[in-house]
Amino acid sequence: MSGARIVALNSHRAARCAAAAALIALAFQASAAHASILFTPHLDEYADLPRGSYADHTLVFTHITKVFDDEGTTIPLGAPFVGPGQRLDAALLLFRYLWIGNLFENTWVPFLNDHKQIFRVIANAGWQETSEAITERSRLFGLHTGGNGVGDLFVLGGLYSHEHRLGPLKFNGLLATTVKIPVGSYDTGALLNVGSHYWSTMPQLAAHADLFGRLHFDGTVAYQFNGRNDAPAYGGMTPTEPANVYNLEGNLAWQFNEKWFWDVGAFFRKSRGPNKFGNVTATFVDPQPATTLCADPTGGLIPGLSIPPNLCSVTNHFALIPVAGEREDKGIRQLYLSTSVYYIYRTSSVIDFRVAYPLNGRGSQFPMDYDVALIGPDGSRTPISDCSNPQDSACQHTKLNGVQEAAAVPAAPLFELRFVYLFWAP
Amino acid sequence: VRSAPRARPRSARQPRATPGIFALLALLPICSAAGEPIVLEFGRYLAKYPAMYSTSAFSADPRDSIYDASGRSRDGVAPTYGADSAFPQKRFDLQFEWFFPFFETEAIPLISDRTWTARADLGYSHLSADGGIADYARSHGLKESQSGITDIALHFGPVLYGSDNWRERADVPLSILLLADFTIPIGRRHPDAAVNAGTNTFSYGATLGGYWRPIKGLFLDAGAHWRAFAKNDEPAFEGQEPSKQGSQLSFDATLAAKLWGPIYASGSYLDVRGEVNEYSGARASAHPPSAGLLMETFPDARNAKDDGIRDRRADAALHWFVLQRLRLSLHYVMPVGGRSGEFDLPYQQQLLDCVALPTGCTPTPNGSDHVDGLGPARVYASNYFLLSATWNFSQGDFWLYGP
Repeated sequence: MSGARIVALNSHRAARCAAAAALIALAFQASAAHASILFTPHLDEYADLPRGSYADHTLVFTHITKVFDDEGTTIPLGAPFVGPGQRLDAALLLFRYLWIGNLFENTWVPFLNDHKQIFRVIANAGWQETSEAITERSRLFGLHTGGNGVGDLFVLGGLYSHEHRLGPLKFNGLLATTVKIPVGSYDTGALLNVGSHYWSTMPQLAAHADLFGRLHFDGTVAYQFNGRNDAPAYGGMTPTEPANVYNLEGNLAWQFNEKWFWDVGAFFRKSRGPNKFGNVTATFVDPQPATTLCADPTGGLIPGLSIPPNLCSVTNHFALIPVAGEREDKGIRQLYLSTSVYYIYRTSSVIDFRVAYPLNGRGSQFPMDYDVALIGPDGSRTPISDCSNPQDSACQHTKLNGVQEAAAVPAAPLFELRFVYLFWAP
Repeated sequence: VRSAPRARPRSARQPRATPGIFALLALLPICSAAGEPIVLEFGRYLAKYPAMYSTSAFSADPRDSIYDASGRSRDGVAPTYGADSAFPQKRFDLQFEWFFPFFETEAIPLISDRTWTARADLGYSHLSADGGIADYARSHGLKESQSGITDIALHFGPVLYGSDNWRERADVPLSILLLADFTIPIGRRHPDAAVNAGTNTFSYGATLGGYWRPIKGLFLDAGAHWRAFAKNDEPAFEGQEPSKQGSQLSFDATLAAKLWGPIYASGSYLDVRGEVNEYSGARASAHPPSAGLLMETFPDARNAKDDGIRDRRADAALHWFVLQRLRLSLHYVMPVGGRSGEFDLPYQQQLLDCVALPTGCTPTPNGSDHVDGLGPARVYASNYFLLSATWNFSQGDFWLYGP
């Protein structure tokens, strides 16, 4: 999705658009749209830019109707818990400030005194909402869906290599680290949150090259370390231990003239190991009638549940009690192909339309057990199952969807329309 | 939706023995198009010289009275919860405005030969809820208020007339602007809150505005706006704010005159007319009807609609050009009339736990309850002051003297 990058013109070579070191892109993910870290390909993303201060604002929209399940199959958003045709809409605003210069110039500090540094701060605010059916279903669990407000804060520091030339080829490298500070709005009862509620730290190595000033390459390798989230949201369907994530990104761009560019790229991310869900509490607020759970065991409120027929006639109301314990998914994976057209106006404005298409992916799903209890007239609960016994037939087994940025993987094309305006550019 | 046969969660049903249990639920205003402080600065439709301009405004509105559906001023913002309710708001708004040439070197007809303008409006709203509705929220596990950033509105459009000779800095006493806009609902909100900073609703619209300086020292701004709203999939406070807000048509005008030296005075008028609001998400109300013996009652909001809103207000202001590039303004905003959205919420009843019976449920009508629509359906009747400052970031003359 949106790149956190700046675009500027090199006045000495009017043809070149320097889309500055974005290093990270804040993007929306999957069935829980979220400001998250995605390395999306962009033109001249890691190019060695002129010194100075840059600021820009970006607006991103997404519309998600499908996600990947844990087998890599594309499924409708919210399946199987709600019917097809559901959607998740989200908008994200990025407010970015970038400084490039050398704090150590003319000092004795070796290496740093002759290599430029880059610092970036990214603030964001967003909106996310699901369609009404998902909201209604969430209400059965005492939960809600929408998320609005100010998101997490991202800060980045990095170091440019020198620029090297080999005939018509020019290239440079960049070493940087991004830290996500979880200050964003976060509600444990919400399916969607603008804030993530856990820290992330992400070192990365990037390179930029251009040939004859026409063919531009940018690529990066990064590793995202995620901290714990001891207050998971949406009934514990966000991980308490989000897995660390590998990131790869590559982009090739062609410059037609000083105003028009076109690029093709890909990005890939894959978790290292599973996400862990250590505090799943999601269950129905109200007792569930026998007809709900017995009449349609494969398509009821929790698909997969199957109350034994002899119990269905015992009472009108059942309670489902989440069985404590830590669950794991199979990890997530995401591969997108991306292409974009850029129009550069003067030295301060860029219009960029991008389409990213998911080639494959794997979302988060994890097994969950529920004990069944009968609810008496006085509200008392009498368990009729024992999930600690693997042979117990009344214990209910199902599969829940991991949600939000660490877990859900969208299977829908992403569309990005960026208008970058540089308030200050050298 | 694959859900339980019972049509609604138990939390939305009303047991027979507890008639008044939802006694205070029905009205929550959310910071809305009808309730937001609007800065009516003079010169707002002037084709300014290309630069960035910023206006910041602070207001403190007690919001302790409203206009009801019949247009009467009523104490309290949610009369069905009692006359003492209020949603006091302290609000800071920030508006950035740019004027710039667009594709000037491309010589594109109708685009390159004029200046364009872009605007971004954002803010922060500190909210609270007092009185009966707050008591109800507390006693029912709901939330009284949700403060935070407000929605952001983005505007963009051409100067239709008055910017042809901007490079010559010609003094043009007449200008006309056309702006398209949309609002992104990033404002903070909680679906259980009685009053929220954000609306959770996309909107889009257009403005046609004109500025005229007939004689030196006298200024007239007038504009017309149309706005439409997307669906709100999660209306707050048990769905008592609209799930679909009616489109709005509004008119604003300001007449300003120079009093003495850098001091100016202005008088403004704003009139907003909103079409019918829909409330398909309503799940409760303040005084639901009692259910029959062994029956339970619940709302049926499928066709719940109000009659729309009207918001009319006057604004008197003094303006002081402290510096060539800085203007301070003090506004006194006086509502002069209006109409809030209200509707009757139909109720049905059925046998208690009938879902478990083999015969199923056959809901029957059970009267209705009057609901004060919340959020954008509230039109407040309270007066308040607003202090604003406008800064011209460019090095040129202040816009007041023309492009």
